[in-house]
Amino acid sequence: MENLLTVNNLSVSFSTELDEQQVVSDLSFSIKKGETLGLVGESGSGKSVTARSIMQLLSSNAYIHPESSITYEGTELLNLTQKELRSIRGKDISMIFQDPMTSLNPTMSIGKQIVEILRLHEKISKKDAERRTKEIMTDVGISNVDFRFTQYAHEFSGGMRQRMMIAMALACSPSIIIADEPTTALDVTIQAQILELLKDIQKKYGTAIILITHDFGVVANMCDRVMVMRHGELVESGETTEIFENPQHDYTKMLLNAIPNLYKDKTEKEKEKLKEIHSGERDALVRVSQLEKKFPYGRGETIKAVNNLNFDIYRGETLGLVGESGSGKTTTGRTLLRLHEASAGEIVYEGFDLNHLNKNELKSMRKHIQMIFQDPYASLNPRMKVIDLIGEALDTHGLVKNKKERTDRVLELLDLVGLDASFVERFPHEFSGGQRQRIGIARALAVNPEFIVLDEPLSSLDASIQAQIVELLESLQEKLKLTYLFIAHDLAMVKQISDRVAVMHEGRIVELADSEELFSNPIHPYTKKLLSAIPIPDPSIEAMKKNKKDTEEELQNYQGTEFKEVEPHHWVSC
Amino acid sequence: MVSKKNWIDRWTDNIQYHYKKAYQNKSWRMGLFIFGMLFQLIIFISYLIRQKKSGEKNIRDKMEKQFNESGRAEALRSQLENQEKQKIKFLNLNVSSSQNQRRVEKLYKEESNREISERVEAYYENDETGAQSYLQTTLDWLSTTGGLVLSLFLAWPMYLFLIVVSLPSLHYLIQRLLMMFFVIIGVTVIVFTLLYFSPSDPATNILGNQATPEQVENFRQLHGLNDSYFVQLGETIKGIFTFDLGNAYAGNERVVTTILRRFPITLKITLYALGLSVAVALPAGIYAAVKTNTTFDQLFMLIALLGISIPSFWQGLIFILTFSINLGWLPATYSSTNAMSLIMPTVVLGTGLMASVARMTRSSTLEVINEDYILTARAKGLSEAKVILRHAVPNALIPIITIIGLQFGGMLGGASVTEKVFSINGIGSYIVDKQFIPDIPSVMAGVIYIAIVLSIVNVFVDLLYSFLDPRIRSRVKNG
Repeated sequence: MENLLTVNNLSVSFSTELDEQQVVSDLSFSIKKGETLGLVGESGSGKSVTARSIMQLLSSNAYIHPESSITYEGTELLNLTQKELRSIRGKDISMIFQDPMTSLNPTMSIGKQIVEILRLHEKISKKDAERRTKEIMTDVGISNVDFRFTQYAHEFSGGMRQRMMIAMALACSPSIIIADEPTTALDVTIQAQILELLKDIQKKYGTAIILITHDFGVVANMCDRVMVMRHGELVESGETTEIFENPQHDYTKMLLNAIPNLYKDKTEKEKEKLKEIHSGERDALVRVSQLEKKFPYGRGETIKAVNNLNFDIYRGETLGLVGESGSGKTTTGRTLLRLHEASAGEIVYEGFDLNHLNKNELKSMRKHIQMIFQDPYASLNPRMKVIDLIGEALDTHGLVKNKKERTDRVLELLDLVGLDASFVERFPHEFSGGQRQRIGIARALAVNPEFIVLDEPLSSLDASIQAQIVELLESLQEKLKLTYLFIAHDLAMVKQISDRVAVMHEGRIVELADSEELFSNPIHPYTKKLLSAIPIPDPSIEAMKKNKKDTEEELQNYQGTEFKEVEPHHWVSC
Repeated sequence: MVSKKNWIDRWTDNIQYHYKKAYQNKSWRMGLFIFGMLFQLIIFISYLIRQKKSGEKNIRDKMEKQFNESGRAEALRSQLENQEKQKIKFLNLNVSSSQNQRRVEKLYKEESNREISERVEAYYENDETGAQSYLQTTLDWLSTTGGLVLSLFLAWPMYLFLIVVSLPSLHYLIQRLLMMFFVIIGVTVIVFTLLYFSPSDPATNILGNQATPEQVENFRQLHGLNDSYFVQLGETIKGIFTFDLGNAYAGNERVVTTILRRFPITLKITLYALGLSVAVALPAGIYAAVKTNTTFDQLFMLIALLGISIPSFWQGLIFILTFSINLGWLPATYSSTNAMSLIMPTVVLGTGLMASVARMTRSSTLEVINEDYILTARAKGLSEAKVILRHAVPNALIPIITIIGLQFGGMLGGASVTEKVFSINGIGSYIVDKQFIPDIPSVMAGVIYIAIVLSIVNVFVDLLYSFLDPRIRSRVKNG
């Protein structure tokens, strides 16, 4: 079969005021009709730039080198006039972007945005365009289309917005859809639905898809062939199964290794730990009972973000708290630190209720309980040097007597987290994401806490960096005898680092068990749904996964508010 | 017969629903009590009667007794004592035993009250003996036709209040009008106080140095200047509501009449200046944003800077010098009969506005152009012009329009400098002239006029904002 789109020797540079930076170097690939090509790489690999180059949607300071060639159905796209290019965009080749909230015009109704593209490329009356739009909306799984047609982007949920983007991309029946990280911003269950939708579309319309992603699970699920990019260069490409089974290049091997292995066995030490917890030898550091947090919502109503939570965290363990956005996991973490005031319930730490502490006592508690945040860039004051970012914690609690002690301690902490001593005089923006997160960890450790709440600490990091930080956290836990509450939405990551895992849904814990037990024997239907939605980075398993029917009816049976120990050390809400 | 019943039922349900909602909000509940005092009194009596009949004197006391006797109170207390002990040990605190006692007591009170309240609530939910909460009694009364009619009769202000709080857009509007009211009162008090304590004496300023003490005294009597501060202030505020702020010290014309006479002129010039500025600034700003960092853009920024920096009196005088005296093209002063005399004041007044609107348009458009949805629009295959005009500009305009609205309100207050330069009988020059005497009623009238106009324009701009931006619309709709 002929190639639909061929890219040859693509090189792209960006010119800033100071210099020119080459972001894509000598890239060549092609895609056939009906094929799904995956484009994988970490941040900075040049995959988004490549995608935008195809339709020449780059910013004005981008420069495509003259030796590059992009041909679509025989026509050289780089030689076309603007007018000719515009007739291809949206009609023959269309794009879906990562963040549907910002990618849709907030002040134009959704329906109008699709009608616009229809009337642009086809000679069609307004009424017909509206009708077609509603048909496409139904096709992509939107219900109640007459009403939804008039609504605006902010009135839709994340998954529905992405469906609308897909509808817009599909409207004129393109032969290629370029999807730039279409599911990265979505919850894992929604991600599964969107990927299913894309597969359906491909089956129905024979559309070729260029899928850009950093998630190998998605690749295994969707792609026929894969390209791996690094620093703007093609590192390796081939059939998906080949790449997974037989990666040739070291970088590919490294990326595949960095994926948290869902099936890795626990070490001996970890099994010992769980045994002690089960037998009661280890005591509980934190006991949460009937914790509730209400927020005002609309007019006069409240919503229970955290609803009757009961769980214990044992000394030295890592308890994983998993849930999708809106489940209440972040609120729980913050309430434990009294960053939110609980509406009801107890948080008993070392025998006393944290909710009863006054301001001074709470300040003392900050030496014992710390938090590590998700976005290391946003949580570090950009105007403070590293030595002050970490030193401030020492000053506040009076942990050092003079400047020399302060510096010594900061250097000690930097060494602990694997950072070079020369970093003390630098500012946050001079560091990479992984390094910043290490600074955040050093800061949390400065006061010698016993208990650390980690709120999605790895979500904004590349896969390879994630693996390193996980290693660091695990070694620190052992060395310093720390107890962790690890909050995340990435189940695979949680399984790797946690001893036990609790699954949250709509403010409640629906299941709590040892991590291995939870993954091999999920009982609550929501947990099952969550697990089945994870794209497994193993093409053979993904191929076997059949379309799971909605477990709505099953969910009904588990609506109760009792939290029962259904099996030894395995609690389920029912 | 049947249909009529349904209609009434639907209405009573509606009323009960909204009443209940309003009741649950603490501040609105107070409004319901205040506005429907007589009716609430009747309800209260009926509530007490019902309480007595069912034998349940006070649920809360009953629950408290239960709490104490069941042993829960003791358990709670010892639990709290225990926890305090642990805490003191862990945090290494230095606490005397009396401090400790007090702390435990305080915590006990909080926790026990909370638990008792929970029990009370639970009781009401499961209640079958007929003992009812106050709210329930009210709702029962409202569900009967007789009760409804009685409430309408006795407590119709309460219903007006209920309508206002239940309709979000009306609620929003009334909130803004209330704020406007307070702003006007506040402005009146402050300005009046400043004028009251001003060192210049209106009597001598108007009557001249030769005036005899009797004449001065007469003047003061006539205009109530001997009354106390509060009396005079009170008179002024009263005047706001009766639309009669008195007569000017000089000339003895009713100030309200003067203001109304001068208003159309100010309005005309303001509208023209606004129209001119917007017509020039918007396209220029958009174009500068699209062609950012080119020669046009640099030139544009320079001109805009000049426009903002040039003082209007200087500009006005230079214009008069050039166009009236040297070239003789345009008349130097304003006259209502000569349309040409409007040109220069309009341009002078509009220059500052033009420059700032143009700069804002440029930056707002620049911001919007870099948003993701513009990329989506381009990816759809739209021409650059359509992308800018259809997607970028409407979003960029939203903040700009609100600022234009506010500026407009400000200009309506009168552009004193421009009016002076071109001898225009507008409100701005009026206030300035009267200020020096100080002709208190005139100045007050002018200031109050400005306060009212600005407040109205502000409310209007807010409404406009929610009209243009669907995200704000949703927020207002959902409270």
